[in-house]
Amino acid sequence: MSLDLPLIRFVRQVRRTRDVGAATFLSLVALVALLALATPLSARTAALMMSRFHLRVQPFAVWAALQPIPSMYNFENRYWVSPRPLRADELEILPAPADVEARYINHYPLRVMTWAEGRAVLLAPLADRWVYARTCYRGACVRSAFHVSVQQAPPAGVVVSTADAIRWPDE
Amino acid sequence: MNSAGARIAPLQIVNGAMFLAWVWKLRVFLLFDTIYRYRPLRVSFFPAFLQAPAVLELAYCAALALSLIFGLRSTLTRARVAGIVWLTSAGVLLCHEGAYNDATFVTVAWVALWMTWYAWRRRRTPEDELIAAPFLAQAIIALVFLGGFVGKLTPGFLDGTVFYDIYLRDRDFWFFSLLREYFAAETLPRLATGYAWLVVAVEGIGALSLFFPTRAALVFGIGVMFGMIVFNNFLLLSVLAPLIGLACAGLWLESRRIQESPRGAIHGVLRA
Repeated sequence: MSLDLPLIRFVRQVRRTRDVGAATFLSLVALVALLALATPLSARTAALMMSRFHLRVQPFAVWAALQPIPSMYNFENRYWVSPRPLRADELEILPAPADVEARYINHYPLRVMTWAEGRAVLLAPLADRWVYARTCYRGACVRSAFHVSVQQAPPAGVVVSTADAIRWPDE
Repeated sequence: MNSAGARIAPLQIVNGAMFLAWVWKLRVFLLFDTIYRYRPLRVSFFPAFLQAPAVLELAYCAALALSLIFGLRSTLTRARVAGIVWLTSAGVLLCHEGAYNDATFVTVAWVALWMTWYAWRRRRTPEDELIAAPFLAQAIIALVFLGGFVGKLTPGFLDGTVFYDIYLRDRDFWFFSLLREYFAAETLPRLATGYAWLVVAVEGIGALSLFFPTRAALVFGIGVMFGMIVFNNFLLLSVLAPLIGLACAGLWLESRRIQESPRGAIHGVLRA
């Protein structure tokens, strides 16, 4: 009796017809699956995946190549948006200080400043903001901090801001 | 259905599903585009052209236009061009400062890759695409579940902390509002823990669905994805519609394979 699993059927068909395109496609899926499976097993892979969420993978082309890896609702991502620089202890206390917005977020925590939804709120006061983001996975964490400064506010209504990376408090 | 029509139908299904995802985003996209134009944020990580709103608009509109052109008159040539444009647009948006975090472009990238591969491939035998194409659809859907599954294997997710803060604390959505109405505030963290384990279990099964019979795997995937849209967030339609479309295309091809197999042909004769 032979197994009629789709995977086995696929392999038989690809071998019979020498379908390089289909074989390459499945190899790509397998490669991405291996990377995903390595995430809980290898600290380096986990660090790479978390760094991707923090826009810290260099060169940019490598980060771009990692982007199609499915990672919805991955890791424990937390962000803090503050009207002033925060101390390390202020990033740990629960609840966060009253003037600080601190929440968990599903993925890519820096989207709180880059994505339109967060950016509209962040830049609404037209004043400097400090953004902190932390992503943790199985005991390891990646942290990022940014100072978002308003550069100019011409009458046309366009407000240009710059996000500069700063050191995480006490690091 | 003739052979050419049969080749086009799965392409129409996935193209329609990606079009739906894009249109579902349209209102939000227009609002976001305005914000990007009036509140530019310079982040040195991104090349300048990947911070420009015009690039975002071009990538969005090109895919929409080519999708319509293929949808209005479906030929293989148009499908080939549309597939490449979908893939390029999703690739650009996945790397753009204003869209890199949006999972819609991850799912569209994979479905567009399938569409491009399917449209460009040389047919080797009559039943050739009925084996490779549905299995690759199944593999992509299992991969998306796997990606979600492994990232949640961490204490903050498994103890419900993350889901409590994201969903149960104050998310304005019918299901979570209902839970807040019916359960005491101190019970909600426990519900969040149960919810997190349920999601992890379902995603784990979804990842293993690579080894299921194709029809069972795709039906499971469609059911789970509809459940996520209805119980979690209607905006997820833009993320999941392309995968649902891919699953439907895979089911369509798998049904044809079963019909054309010797056992299926005997059943057909008996039914007639």
